[in-house]
Amino acid sequence: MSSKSTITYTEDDLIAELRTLTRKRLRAWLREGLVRPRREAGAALYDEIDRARLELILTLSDDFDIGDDALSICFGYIDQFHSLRRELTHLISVIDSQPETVRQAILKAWRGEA
Amino acid sequence: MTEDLYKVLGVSNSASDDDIRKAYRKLAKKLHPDLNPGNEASADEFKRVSAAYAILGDREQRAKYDAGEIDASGQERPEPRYYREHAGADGGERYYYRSGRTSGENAFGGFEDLSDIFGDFFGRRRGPERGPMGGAGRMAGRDARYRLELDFLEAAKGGKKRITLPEGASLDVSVPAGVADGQTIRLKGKGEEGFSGGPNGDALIEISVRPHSLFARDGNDIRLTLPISLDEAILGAKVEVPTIHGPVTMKIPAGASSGQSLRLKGRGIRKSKGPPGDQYVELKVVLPSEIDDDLRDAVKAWRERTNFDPRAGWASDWRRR
Repeated sequence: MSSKSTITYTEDDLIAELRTLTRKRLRAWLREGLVRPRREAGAALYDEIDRARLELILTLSDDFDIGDDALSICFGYIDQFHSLRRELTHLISVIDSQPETVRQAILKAWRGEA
Repeated sequence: MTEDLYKVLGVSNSASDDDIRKAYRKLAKKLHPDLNPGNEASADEFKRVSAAYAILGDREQRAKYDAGEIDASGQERPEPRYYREHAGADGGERYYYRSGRTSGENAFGGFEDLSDIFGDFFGRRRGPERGPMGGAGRMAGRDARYRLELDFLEAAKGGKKRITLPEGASLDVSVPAGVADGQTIRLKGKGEEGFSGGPNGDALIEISVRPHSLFARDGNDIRLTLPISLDEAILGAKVEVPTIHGPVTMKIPAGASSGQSLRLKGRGIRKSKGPPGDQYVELKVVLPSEIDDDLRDAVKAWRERTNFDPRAGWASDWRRR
């Protein structure tokens, strides 16, 4: 997994590396709040997560013809999905660390037996 | 090793641009880890598909490929990034859902809002004091609901009541003076036990109040209708009047009328905070069921001597309407 990385990109880096990304498109998505880079001393710094997000935006936009308005809606759902996924992962780890009796009780309730 | 890019996309080498695009979309929907989040093992396959489409989906590149000028491995492409790998990792909270906002500074970090989403799933009966779930995995216990029926006076004056719970245990409830019908009393921490060190839920006690045969509530004031006799109305009297705090002696002024209201200050509901309510006593002149001759004669004589019209104050035009 390449999830943990300290590489950061500038706006110019991304425009150079992502074939169909233009400054105009990036600016529009920034205005929409679709991409939210870190800001340091007034300059936008893009982390791997921002780049990955931009690649997904480009895939949806270029390959699936999804317009900017629909993109915002899509990312509303995508962000909810990932937020819930993280909370669920956390919840599962919490349940996992409970004593066996508690885990069994939760499991029973989950199956509708309690 | 070179592979047939048309085969990767599952199209013939005479396929139209449109067919290629359609084939790619179909595969991407299935294989792209961000577009099909349930499918874990498809990232490698998607990589091949997207590399093939990078060539075949571009008219110029496709022509070169068909002419044998480039092959599948000839194209140096950066490793595709998948958003899902980052979204769940540290730093992913930057884009976590925050209700009602998609842009601007405040869109960053939505832990508490997120806990609210979870509250919908788990917290329907949790108390209001719970912290966000995100912390140490603690979870508040559920609230427990009970009903408590009170006499009018118990509700008006307040006091201690004991509820026997279905499990046999009991719960002491301190009923505040002036509790109203339908009101809920919350006993902090008396609900179900918390989970993993989380706080207990609360006990919610819904109050119902039985009506009283004499008293009625009007906010913190008590209303009572007091029947008086003709002589008490005419001559005045001192009578004993019930209040919620016990009987008191009240002076009825001479010449009192039905409907007249007298106030017993401070004899209403005494809440722990604020000024106490009053009791209002509405007088109602009641005649004996049988009028004796002496009374009838006396009143006849009175009518002949006087010309009293209790409706004299009414505007004269009410008749013409």
